[in-house]
Amino acid sequence: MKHIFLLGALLTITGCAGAGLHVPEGSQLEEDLLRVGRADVAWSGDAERLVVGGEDPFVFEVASGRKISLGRSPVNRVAFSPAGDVVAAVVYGDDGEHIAIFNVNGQQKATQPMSGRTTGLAWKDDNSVVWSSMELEKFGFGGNLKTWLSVWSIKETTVKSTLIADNTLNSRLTEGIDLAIANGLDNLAVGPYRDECMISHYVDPPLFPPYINVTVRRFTETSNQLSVKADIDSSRVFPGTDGDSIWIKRDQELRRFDRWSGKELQSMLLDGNNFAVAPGSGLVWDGRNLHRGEQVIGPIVADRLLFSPDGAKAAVVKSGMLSILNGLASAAPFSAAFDVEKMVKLRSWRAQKLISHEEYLELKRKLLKP
Amino acid sequence: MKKIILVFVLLVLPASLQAEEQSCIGCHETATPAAITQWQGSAHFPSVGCSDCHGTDHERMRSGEISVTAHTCGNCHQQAFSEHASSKHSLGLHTGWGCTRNMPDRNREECKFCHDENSSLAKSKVQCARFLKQTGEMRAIGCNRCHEVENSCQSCHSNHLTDLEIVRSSRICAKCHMGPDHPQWEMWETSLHGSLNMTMGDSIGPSCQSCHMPQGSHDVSLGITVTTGGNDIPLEKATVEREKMLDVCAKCHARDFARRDLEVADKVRQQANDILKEAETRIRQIGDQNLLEPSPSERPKHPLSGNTLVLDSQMLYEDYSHLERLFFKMKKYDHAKTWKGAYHQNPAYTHWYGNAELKMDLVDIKAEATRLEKQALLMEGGGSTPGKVDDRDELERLTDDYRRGRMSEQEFQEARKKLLESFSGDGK
Repeated sequence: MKHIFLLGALLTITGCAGAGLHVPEGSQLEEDLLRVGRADVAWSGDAERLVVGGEDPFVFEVASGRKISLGRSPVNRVAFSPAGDVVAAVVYGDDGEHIAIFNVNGQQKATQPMSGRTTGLAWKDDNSVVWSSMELEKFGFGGNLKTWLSVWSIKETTVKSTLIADNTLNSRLTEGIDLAIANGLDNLAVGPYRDECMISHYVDPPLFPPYINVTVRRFTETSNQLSVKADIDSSRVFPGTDGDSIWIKRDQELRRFDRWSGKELQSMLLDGNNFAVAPGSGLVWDGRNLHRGEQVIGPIVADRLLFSPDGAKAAVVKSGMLSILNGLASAAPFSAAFDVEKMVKLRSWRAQKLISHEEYLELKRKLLKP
Repeated sequence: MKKIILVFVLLVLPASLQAEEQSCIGCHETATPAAITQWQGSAHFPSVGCSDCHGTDHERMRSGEISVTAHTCGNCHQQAFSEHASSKHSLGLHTGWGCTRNMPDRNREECKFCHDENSSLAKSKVQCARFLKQTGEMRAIGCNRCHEVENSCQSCHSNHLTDLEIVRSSRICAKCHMGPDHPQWEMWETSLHGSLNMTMGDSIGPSCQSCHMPQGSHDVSLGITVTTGGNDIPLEKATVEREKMLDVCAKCHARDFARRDLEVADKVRQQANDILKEAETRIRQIGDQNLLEPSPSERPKHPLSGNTLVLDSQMLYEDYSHLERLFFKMKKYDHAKTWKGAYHQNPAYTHWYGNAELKMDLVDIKAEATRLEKQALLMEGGGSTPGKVDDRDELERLTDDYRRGRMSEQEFQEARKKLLESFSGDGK
């Protein structure tokens, strides 16, 4: 009897809901909507739909609960286009992986063969598909790992692939990466203006411990802008809300770095490798708690969490079941506060050093919509 | 009975060993007289005999299966071996070798540098593409004579001499640390440090060893805060190593003065890295457009990366495009001279041999890249007016015109200010 009281007290204090999901006060949980297992999940730009990969991929309409199948082939990665009208998916076929484009009715519109194993999928500002892939070759002494970034212009039907890194690795690291890729290693993120991406790759220098190098790569100027080191056990990278910073894991802490200078701006303790940053509102999930800046908003204990683009919702996966958390701090994506076209141009000037950083900040301030 | 055996061991065995040495000397006094004379004049004589280092299996010695390696010396010189093994010198084979298993001119003698006997597991984890592209003869002299340092004390100490005067002179370092890719010896020789050393001796001017092997340490990486490619080593290690180097500098200089000087060199290195990165970016742009001639898919395969564009430390100096040839010189020669010259306090190497060449390389690379783009447009039927459709925005065009000398600085600044005001709405 005492135990029941104790459990009741704990549930009340922590705001625990249903099957053990702890959620922040003020938010509402639509619990256990879907079984997704370990499948990749992505939001549409308007946060009205989710696309779910796995053995039976589908688009899920949040409001109606309708599921639209995306065919019968297993899907590794998924990503909604910026306009939300099509979905890119990495599909397993008889001859390896390929990228397929589906409309939201589940019809396949285009496909593109690819090589290697996909480790990230996203969309660029001009409706081109971007993906990262790795090719791991094993030898007696270890392995050779090539990390690629590819851009598929669906309109021009061209694919440009760039070798981001070509590294020799020791045997232990080779085995670890092989396993990580099989378990869905994620090494790509696209910034809020979709004019650049952040891609991470492994480095194993002689005499020093291996680490992950995160590179910010511009799409328009096809140049690498920044290189920062991250912990070897987490290749994940998130763009900062304002497009001027990036989040990575280093020294077991989640740290935010200035995207232009590489200076550290913020850090917080991290419990494990599960973390997420809301692109719109700047909310941060550290694996156990939800933060805004220095403030802890409340606990969310889950296996995975994926914020919607505006940060108002989150898809939460625990024990393979997907729930949706509503009512988080609502905020329009930071990019919505600007004339995006002008901001993209301004950022291009800054990247090309046609303007100084001070000029960039001043012009950005002036471009902010009233 | 035990006593009899002991007496036998004490009296008879040394005598047999002595006889063994005599049998070596008997022939080698004639076959390799210099080796015998040098050994007899060395600190090893007479206590360390031929078989102590070379063993007794003459046939395997002759076939090259047994040789004197750093591990042999390490049996006695344990501290020196351990310092050497943790230094950049121990990377020699890792960076200078590659597996020749599939090469037609394979020399089986080379296997032992990476493999223990009867083991297919390689000890080294990095292969060198440039090594793998060479003939056996070139690999033997052009690569291994320096990179064998990992496993060969005689790379600096010579085979049979033990005279420390040889290895305490900067000249011994010049055997490898010279030439277009890393002219540290020339930089030192023509710096104030080198000039003082050559005129006033070690007590006034530092030798290579004064700074890089203080107190006879064999850890030549002591105090080094950068990789061989000019990138930062991890900060936590770099901080420690910088203090170690400052301990060395502080023997002659105020610590703060030395710290500032090294920090200036750090900045020079970062600036050189930025220039190099700009060139690499431009080449990758051309590569992404498939405009390199020949393209990676049209060339013989890179020994480690196949038909891909390789611009990193495994970059070749053959079987590639003119643009990459310009970049190789920029990266391997001029970039290295710039930042290594700065750390060695040599103004001419830092500026004229380094920085000036580096910047001129960038000009060449950009010009060649633009030429390739224009040529591609003409071939696509771009008409009689060469050059692509100008899709640059106003600020890009304006800045380009200024850089090409088509307008004065004042005109440029005025036009630029107006443009930025109009962009942000101030000018409306």
